[in-house]
Amino acid sequence: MSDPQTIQPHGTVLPPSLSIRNATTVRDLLQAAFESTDPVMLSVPDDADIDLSFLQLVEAARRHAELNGRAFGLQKPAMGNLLSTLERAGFITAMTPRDREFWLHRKEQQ
Amino acid sequence: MTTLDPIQVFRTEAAELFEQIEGGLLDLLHDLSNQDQIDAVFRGLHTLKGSGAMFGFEALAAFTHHCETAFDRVRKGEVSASAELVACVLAAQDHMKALVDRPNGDNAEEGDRLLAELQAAVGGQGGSGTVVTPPLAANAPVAADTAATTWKLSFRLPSNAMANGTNPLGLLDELRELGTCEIRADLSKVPGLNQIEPADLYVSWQVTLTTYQPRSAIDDVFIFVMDEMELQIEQQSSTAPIAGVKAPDTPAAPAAEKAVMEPQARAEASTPAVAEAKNGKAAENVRVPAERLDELMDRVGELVIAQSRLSQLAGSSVDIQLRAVSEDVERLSGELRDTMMVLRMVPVTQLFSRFRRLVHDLARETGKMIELEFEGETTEVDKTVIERLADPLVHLVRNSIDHGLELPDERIAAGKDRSGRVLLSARQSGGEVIITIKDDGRGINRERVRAKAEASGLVQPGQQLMDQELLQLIFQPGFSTAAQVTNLSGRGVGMDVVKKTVEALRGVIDIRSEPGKGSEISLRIPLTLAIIDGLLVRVGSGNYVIPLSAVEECLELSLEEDLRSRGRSFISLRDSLVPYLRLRDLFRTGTAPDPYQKVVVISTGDERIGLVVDQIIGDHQTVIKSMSKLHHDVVTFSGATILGDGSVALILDVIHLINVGQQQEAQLRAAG
Repeated sequence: MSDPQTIQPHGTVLPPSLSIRNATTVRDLLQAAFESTDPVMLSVPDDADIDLSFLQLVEAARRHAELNGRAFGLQKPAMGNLLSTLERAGFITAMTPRDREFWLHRKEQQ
Repeated sequence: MTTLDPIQVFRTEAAELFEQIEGGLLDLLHDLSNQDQIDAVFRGLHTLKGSGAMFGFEALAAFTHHCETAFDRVRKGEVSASAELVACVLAAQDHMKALVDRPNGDNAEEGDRLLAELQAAVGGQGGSGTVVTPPLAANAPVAADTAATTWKLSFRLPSNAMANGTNPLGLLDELRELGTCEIRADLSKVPGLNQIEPADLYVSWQVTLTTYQPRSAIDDVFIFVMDEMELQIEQQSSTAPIAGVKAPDTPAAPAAEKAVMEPQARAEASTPAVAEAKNGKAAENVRVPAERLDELMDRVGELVIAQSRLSQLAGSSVDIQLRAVSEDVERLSGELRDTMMVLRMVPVTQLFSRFRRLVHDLARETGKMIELEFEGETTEVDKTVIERLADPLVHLVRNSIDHGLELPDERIAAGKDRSGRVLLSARQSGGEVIITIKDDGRGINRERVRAKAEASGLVQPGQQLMDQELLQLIFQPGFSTAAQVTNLSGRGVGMDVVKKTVEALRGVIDIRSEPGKGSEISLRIPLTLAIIDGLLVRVGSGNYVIPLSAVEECLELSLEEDLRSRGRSFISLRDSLVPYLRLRDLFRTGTAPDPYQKVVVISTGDERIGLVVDQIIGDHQTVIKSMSKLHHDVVTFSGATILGDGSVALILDVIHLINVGQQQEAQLRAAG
């Protein structure tokens, strides 16, 4: 199960281009990370070029992790371009407590 | 998992958009006030800009933005469309194509020059009469209501929306610009990492929007994707002005227009890539790379050969079950071949449509008035034929306009309309397509042709030539002289190259010309190049294939009749003498002739000859294989095919043989 609070010293560092132009590469990178590391912790550059395709890939990775009992998370809470893209895409409004914990590292009282 | 390269997808989409834009611009020339065409061009430019920005073609997006802005002014009625503006945007489109092909190409100066011309064309330099009155109030956007309205939107974009260049975030931003928005993403359809197609879109949205803008402003946000998306809009309530939502002072501009008016800033604007041509039928079509069709064609060809072998084996077997299976395979492979042929066929309009631009440009260059007309655009031809015919046809059309059509004053003096007419037509005739380029110009000057032919040694002074022979001289290598070549027709493809290309397609060129009335050049091309129906014949101990489309009839040549001809080699066929070739002699078989030889009469256009063979074996589905490089110089055969028993049969080059036969006839006539 994902546990974003467990910060790893060396996460999977993603490239600065996280848009549709690079989506296949990023997908492959995520798949490789799941094959080679555990837990998989993503390090997203603050100034990364991000669009919806990346958000979908991370959501797909969350489903994959959940299904396979793997730990998966972000090394640090969403900020910068990642946070603004989450807002623009309407992800923030729709977030469940677990989503908030994953993306924003905010644990809420149930 | 196969994933399309998004850049390649964009290039393909861009090519379609260029066609759409160019077609719209050329149509607009017929009616410069046609709002539908203006809108279509604007949408094409808008989509191109947005898609370009989305896929990292920043230079393209920035350049296209200016053209889009210019057309937006036309769309809004601030500037009227003019022939100059259309010409500018057409030229700008060529620059855009270059930016798609070479995103980092160093051609900024050309871009600046084109933009300066564009600026002048939209009235920047006070072009006469380009500024028109603002649109009537009735045509203006509907004024905003005084009360805010809350709308519930639920929408899902097509799964290929992002791959096609639409940026959903841009659409959401545009919705936010209309008022207060609560946007909730629905992620329930996002699959797992091993199932996801990275470029596909899985997210859908529910939006609650409170706005002073009319419903049409919401529709405008989705204007480019409306046909392919799922969209529900429900009005929830109308209320008095509410806090946080500013009532607009001016009539609302549709969101799509806003995106246009904001200079440069919207590199990541909404970027729909929905070509109108799709008309909502995208889901019914599959885009397949052409090379895959070629591969499939090769496989079908091999299957036909294998089936032929099976049929032969089954034919010599007493096993009834084997024969039954063989017949089934034969039927199925025949059906597969026919289906494959249909897949390779594309309408000739794909070839013709590119000439609209060519003729437009030539008319401006030469000062001639030209009406280009098409006939039979829906005629379908093998895609390879279409590809290979493009250059020869360009040359023929250029020649028609450059050498054939007169200037308007000359035409008036000759009692003709000011506008010259060029007709491009296509029609199917049996297994051939006949493509004709016809003009109503001055016709071919036979005296000049003869003079040039004599000067270049192609004919002897005073040599008797039939009219058709004289006209065919223009297809001789080296016929064109420097004095004749202009910047229009002298681009390195001579008429001899045109003829060679057509003959390489197993086609022939007919030419007719009437002084003062015009010329007509017809290309007769086989509908397909990969598999043909052939007539299998035996000459000596070898088998040969004659393309069935060229066969007129078969006759018997008795030994007595053969002897009676005394070497004249003519056969009387319904009151006309037809020359014939003894293939046994031509191929030097060294065998005695069969007692009852056969004459296969073949023709191309008006020319026909007989081919004397020993035996007609029957029709044969022929998969054409190219000759090897070693046999590059062999002219009598156009290819080879593999028969059912594994042996090779050469395919006769009908055009070459007819030429040989005609020459033989001419020599015999000259000898008296």
